[in-house]
Amino acid sequence: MEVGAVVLKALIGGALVVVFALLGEVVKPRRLAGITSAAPSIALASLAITLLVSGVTSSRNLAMGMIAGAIALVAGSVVATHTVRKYGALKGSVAATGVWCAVALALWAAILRP
Amino acid sequence: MSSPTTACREEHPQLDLRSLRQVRFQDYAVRFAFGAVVSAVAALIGLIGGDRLGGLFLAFPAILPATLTLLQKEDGRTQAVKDAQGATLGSIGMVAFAVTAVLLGRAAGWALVAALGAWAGLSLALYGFPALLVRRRREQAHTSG
Repeated sequence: MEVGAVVLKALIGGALVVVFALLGEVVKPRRLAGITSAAPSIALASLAITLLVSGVTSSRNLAMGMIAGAIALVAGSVVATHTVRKYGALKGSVAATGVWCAVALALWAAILRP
Repeated sequence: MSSPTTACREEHPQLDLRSLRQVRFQDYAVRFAFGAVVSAVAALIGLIGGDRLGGLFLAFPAILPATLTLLQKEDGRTQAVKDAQGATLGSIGMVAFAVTAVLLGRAAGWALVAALGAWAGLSLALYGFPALLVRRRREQAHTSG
């Protein structure tokens, strides 16, 4: 059952990423479309499948962890805005991902770790 | 984020369905693969390290790097920067998504619908607010002048 749920989350997560990316393609201007680059596509798929397979408690715990991940994403996106302007998309994305990892793991260690 | 004046100078929001004709299959295959891999990794981390650790990765910036590099390649660095500015608004909305999903968790499926609404509502409000502010200031300057 657990392997099936992982596969289902992967397939639906990937599909929702494509749906939000297509939405970002048709929305203009670019700054408005950029909102879909931080759409909760993976979260929607994972929370919905977890809700069906494991129940409300497991789903709420996932969402609790996601609060820390989303705060880290705010930090990563702010960094991306500045680093992409200065160093380009590739280096800027690497810097943003690094900031996300640092902030997310720090928040998990400080608040969420059991 | 840009200043209110910059936001106001932007073109009006619109849906351009003709853009879908220029969509390249391989770009979307890459995005699907990124999304599927991150979803699977988050699920596996949740199985090993617990739901809260797995939940952390539900907000991993999986799509942003692919989008930014593709955008810079096709439309230039300025457009990539604008996308990152929009992603900042979307990520603030994502905090609202997660908080709503926790607070309304007992409502099961409806909690996810409400959470999606919170993401879209807050992100769009943050996008529209600066332009509204500038318009109000102009109206005030016009009436007092």
